Amino acid sequence: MSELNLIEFNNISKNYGSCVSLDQVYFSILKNQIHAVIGENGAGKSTLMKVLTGIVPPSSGAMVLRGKVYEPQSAQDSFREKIGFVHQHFQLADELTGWDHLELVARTQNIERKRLVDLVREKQAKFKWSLPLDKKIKAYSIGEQQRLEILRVLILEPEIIIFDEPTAVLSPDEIEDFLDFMLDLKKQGHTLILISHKLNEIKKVADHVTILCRGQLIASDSGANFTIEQMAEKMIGRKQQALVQAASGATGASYDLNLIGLKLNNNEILGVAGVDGNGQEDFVFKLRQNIGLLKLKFGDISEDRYRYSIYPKQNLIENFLIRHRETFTRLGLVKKTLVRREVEKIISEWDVRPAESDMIMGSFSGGNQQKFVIGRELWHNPDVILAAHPSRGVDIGAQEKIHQALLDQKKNHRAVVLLSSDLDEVLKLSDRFVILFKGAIKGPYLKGSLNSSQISQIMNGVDL
Amino acid sequence: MMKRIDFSSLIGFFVGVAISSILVLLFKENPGDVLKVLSGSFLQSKFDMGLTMFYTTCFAFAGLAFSIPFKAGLFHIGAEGQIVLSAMMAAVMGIILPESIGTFGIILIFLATMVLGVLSAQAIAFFKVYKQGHEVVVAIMLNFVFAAIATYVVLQNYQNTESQNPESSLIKPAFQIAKSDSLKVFFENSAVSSFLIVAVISCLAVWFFETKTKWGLEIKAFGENPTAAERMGISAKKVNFLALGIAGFFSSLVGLTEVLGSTFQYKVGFSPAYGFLGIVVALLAQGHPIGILFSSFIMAVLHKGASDLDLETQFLTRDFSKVLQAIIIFCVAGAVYLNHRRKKS
Repeated sequence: MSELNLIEFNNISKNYGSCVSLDQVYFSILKNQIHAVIGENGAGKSTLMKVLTGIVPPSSGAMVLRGKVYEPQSAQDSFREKIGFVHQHFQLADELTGWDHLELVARTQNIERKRLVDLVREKQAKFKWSLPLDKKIKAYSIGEQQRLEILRVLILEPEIIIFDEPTAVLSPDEIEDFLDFMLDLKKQGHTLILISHKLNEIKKVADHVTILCRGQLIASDSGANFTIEQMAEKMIGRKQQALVQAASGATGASYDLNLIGLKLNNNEILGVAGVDGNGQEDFVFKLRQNIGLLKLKFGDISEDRYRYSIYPKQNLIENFLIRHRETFTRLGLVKKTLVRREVEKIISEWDVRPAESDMIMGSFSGGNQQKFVIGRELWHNPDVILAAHPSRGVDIGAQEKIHQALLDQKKNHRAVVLLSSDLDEVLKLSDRFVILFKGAIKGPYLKGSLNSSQISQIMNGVDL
Repeated sequence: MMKRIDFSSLIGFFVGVAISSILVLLFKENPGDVLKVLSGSFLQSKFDMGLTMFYTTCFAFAGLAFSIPFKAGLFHIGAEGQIVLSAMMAAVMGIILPESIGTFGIILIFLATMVLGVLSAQAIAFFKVYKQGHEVVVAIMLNFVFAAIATYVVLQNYQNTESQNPESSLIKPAFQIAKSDSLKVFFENSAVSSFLIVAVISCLAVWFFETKTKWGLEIKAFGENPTAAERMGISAKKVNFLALGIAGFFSSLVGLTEVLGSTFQYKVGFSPAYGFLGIVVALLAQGHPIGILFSSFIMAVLHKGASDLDLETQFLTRDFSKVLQAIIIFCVAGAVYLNHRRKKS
């Protein structure tokens, strides 16, 4: 065993009942590296991290940390071993200030107030951050919230930091900053574990890449030994498929969106680009309002799944039924048996895993939730589809499927509005696109009519 | 994974009984005897059983009155006021309606009482939807307002002249249908009446409503994720008025059970806080309508036993029995809460 091995996983397995989540996974993490763990939804990445941080015990297998046997009983044990975890979904309370959050951590870890002030000042200075710590969380931008989450972990001075999908919510500029920040952390001697789907980011920063697929270890090797395509293939277990573009047919109906005279044709994808917080909410609100006025059937892939699209404690059948309740109601009574058939169709069509229509929504992983939501929103052949961040937080296989589904909708004479903070996604799929900046709608621009530097100028408010 | 039956409330119940027993020991009483009185007093006679069944009826209605708004995300503690107000209505109608209209009069009493029950609960929805009041604050205040109105109306106009207690005169004999109720007769003219059967049917009906009807699903969906529900076209206004309206309907049934099924008059202070005990009943059953049937029976047995404690023991008073009830309730609620937290993490 090399002395540089900071963590070793020795044949870690984890079963939930009959469901195998991790199957004899073994690899090691070297000191002072950025180690990426990649895999599709349900591949076992999150479970592995839960095992590492002591949130769940492994069913079998052992871990070695700094050459010693490591058997964490709780998350507290992992703090003591200098392991920090930056979660994907921020665990912040809207009504508390940033400082309150830091103090809470300090109190549970017995850090004195004076020491905390020093620590926070030191960390902020180190990364040239200036978080408004006396403001409430609801005044924070997404990027600031993430920094606060990270700061919360940093004041415990961890040696190992786990990042779970850290860039899923960030804008392109923020992503660049974040990647630099990771390299910075590495320079200062931290070891980073990065869980992500975004292969181009991994390619940029990761020293070592471990690939999981359905609970099994597929490969673990130096990042330089993989191309992005190879990583993708290994992750999904097959070659990526090229998207099939439809030939644009004759224009049929077009809908007047009533947003500064924007018209939407029923055989196109209209992209909406822009950094988050530049009027997306208002755009969606007006769009929904106008669709309601025109009495069109609407497929609503909302901008925030947890807020607007799912009921975590209800099963898939109920989650489907409440959305399409009018279709399945006769005399005020609902017909659940018919619904089950439709739900099972969506599950198999979208490969929702596990394929259990009676399981509650909250027990599915984020990617599987999203697949189900999209299947549900396309089920009734809507006239207009809003796809807001459709592939946020889902893996490549699902992303491919979602993109193809949007293109198919276009072919079938549906109008699609694709709103995304991922500029590549907008440019790849849309026929025309608009750019939101501070509530104003710029454009529309035809596909290919602007180069990327022009686009980024418009996104930052320069009028061309 | 299928849903597993959750025993946490039952475990909490037994923990509560155990703690109460220790407390009883401190009062130099035999916990065995006390438990025997608490759990067994309803078996002493048919009359006692009937009384327990009567409590079961009232608790079941009150439990439903809490559980339905709870599913919609509302903490409804206004049932007490609605119960008192509707009982007053039933009594007043029974006194002023002429006997000559017969069965039609009984229908009128039912209708008037139910309508008042529904409206008095929807008053909470009104303040919540249009005035942004919090339902708990509004409900607490309305409890006092309604109790005061009921007492005022009864004592000013319909006071029983033959009694020194604050109570109304009896409703007209033609409306005292429960007198010849076969259930009541079987249980030696105890307080129980056919309203018990109505309560059983109500629980089944609510179960059906919550799982098989559109409105039931809308209420549940709204309670779990209001932002998503509104996005899917479920109006907050509708859910608030609907859920509280149904709650008020069941509150009014408690009033009817008391006046038409048992005492045939309005007695000031007749309710041993049915509205609040209904909260416990609903939480004990974790909101499941069939479970409410069982939990209301358990609460009724306890309630009946508690009222016998000061007769049967040397040192324990009726007030102390409330302490015992409170401990048990506290443990049940605590167990349910802890179980939820465990599941979350």
